[in-house]
Amino acid sequence: MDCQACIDSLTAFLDDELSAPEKEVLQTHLTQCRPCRQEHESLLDSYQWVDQLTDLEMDSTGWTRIHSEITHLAPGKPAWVSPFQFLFGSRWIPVAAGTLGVAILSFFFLAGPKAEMQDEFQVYLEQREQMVIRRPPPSPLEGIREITTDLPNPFTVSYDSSQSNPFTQE
Amino acid sequence: MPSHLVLLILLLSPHTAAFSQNWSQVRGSAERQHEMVMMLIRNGDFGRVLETSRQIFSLKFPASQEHLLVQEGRILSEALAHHQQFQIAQGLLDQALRAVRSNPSKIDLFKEKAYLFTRQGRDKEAMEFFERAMELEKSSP
Ligand SMILES: [Zn+2]
Repeated sequence: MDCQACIDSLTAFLDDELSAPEKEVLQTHLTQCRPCRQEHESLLDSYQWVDQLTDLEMDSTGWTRIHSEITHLAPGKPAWVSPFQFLFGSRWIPVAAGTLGVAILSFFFLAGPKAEMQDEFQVYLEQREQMVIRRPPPSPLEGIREITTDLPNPFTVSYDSSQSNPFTQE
Repeated sequence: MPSHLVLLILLLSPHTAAFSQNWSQVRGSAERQHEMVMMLIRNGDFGRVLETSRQIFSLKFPASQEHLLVQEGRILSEALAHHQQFQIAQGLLDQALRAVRSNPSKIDLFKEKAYLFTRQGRDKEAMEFFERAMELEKSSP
């Protein structure tokens, strides 16, 4: 099992939706692969956390308190209503705060590694450009060669580097 | 000679000779097939490229020779990209990806797909494939 397949079936595993053989393969992979094990553990943590949440129950006095607070607030409305409040009520404050929070968090958690990855990719692209597949440039007498004659056959027996077709035998 | 005995002799005979003969056949087929694909590209007959290249990538390559399939992917996709046949070049790299088993080969081919997407100006897909290569690189010991 490769890591992608493992990660893909982790939620099914935690939901107990895998067949016995699938479970066995996945568990074997988890014992051997640290990154996947860590992914599994962090998923397991969040599952347990969500489980705990469902245990929280509001008692009846709580609901009465909320109700009375809402009805108390109603008459004390300010005379002037801001356009935001008019459009969204006071709900826009937590919504905006939440959005801002998510934006900041994603900046730190995503932009950092993303930028790093971008840099690595640029380095790779430069290396790849240097990786010459083609044969040496033609002499002026030869003129311009078509790319297909310029590229090597990798299957040739004499093929010993990235310079020629490896499948050709001479 | 009883057939059992023939079978026994066959089983005990060294496998290396059979293997190298087999490999030289595979290599020879790949070599011819490569020239056919190159000819199709040269003639602008792009519609037949993938069905012809599939025969290279479905050959049984020994693990020690798998790097040749990666190299073949690079060379053929380079030739196709030169003729602006990016879609076919990507399809060809997908064939190569299905043919290889080792993670280093897959990593190289993912990076090659990323490189090709960059040349197409499709930077988002390019990053996606580069990320897949990096993930695989980190996860394989
Ligand atoms: Zn793994």
